[in-house]
Amino acid sequence: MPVASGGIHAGQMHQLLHYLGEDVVLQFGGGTIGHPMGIAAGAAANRVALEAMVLARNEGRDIWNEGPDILVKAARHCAPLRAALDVWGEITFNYESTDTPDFVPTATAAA
Amino acid sequence: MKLTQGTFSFLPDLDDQQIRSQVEYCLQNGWAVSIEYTDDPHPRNSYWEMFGTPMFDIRDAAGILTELRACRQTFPEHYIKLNAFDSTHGRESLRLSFIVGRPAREPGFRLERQEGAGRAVRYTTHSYSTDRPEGERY
Repeated sequence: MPVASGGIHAGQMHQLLHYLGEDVVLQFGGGTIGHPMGIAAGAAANRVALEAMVLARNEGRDIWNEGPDILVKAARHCAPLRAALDVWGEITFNYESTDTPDFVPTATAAA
Repeated sequence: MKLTQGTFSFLPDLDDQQIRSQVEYCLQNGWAVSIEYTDDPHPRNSYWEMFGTPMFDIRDAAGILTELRACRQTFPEHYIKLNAFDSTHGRESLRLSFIVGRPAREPGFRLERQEGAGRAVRYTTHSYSTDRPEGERY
C-alpha cells in the first residue's frame, strides 16, 4: 500500500488522490500539527479536503484540473480548511526523487 | 453534536442529488448497495439494523433512492446509512459507507471515567440517547 508522507498538505489533495488512489496512507504530519488553529483543526481540514475530493471524483468530475476549485468551495463551510489553504495552498515541493537506484552491482568472477 | 462516522460525514449533509451521484458511482462499479439504520450510534456499534436485504439486483439508482425514502419515512428520527459492498474476489468488503439520514437533535456522547485499583482509569464513551429504550431515543 502506498504511503504519502513528508511535506504533504490539504491543498494537494487532488494530486494525492490522482496519483495514489484511495487505498493509501496519507500521513499529514506538519500539515496537521502546524495548523494555525491547532492540531484538531488541522485534522479536520485534512479530512474535509479528502472527503470533498472523493465526493467530487465519484461524481465524475475532473479532479486533476478542478481540484483547487473544489477545495476552495469546500473551505466555504469549513474554517479550518480555509486557514490550511491560506497557509499552505501555494506551496509545492518539486524536488527530484531521492528514491533512485544508487546500487551498482560489482562484477565478480561468478557473474 | 453532529455524528461523524463513515465517509463524507465532515461535509454538510448530502442532498438527494448528491446521494444519487454516489449511488450511481457504486452501481457503475458493480457494488451492491444496502441501507441500514440505528438509534444506537456508538462508534463501536458497527452492526446497524438492515432495512430490507442488500439490493444485489437493482441496477438503477432510482430504485435505491425509493428504498431510502421508504426508510426515512419509517424511521424519521434514526440514523440511516448507505453501504456499498464489493463482492470481487480478494476484496469482499465494504467500499463505501456514508450517513444519509440523522435525527433533528443529536445529543452526542459523554466520556465516563471508571476509577480502578492503583489509580488506573478506564474510559467509556456513553451515548446520551441510549439511556432511553430502543425506539424512543430520538
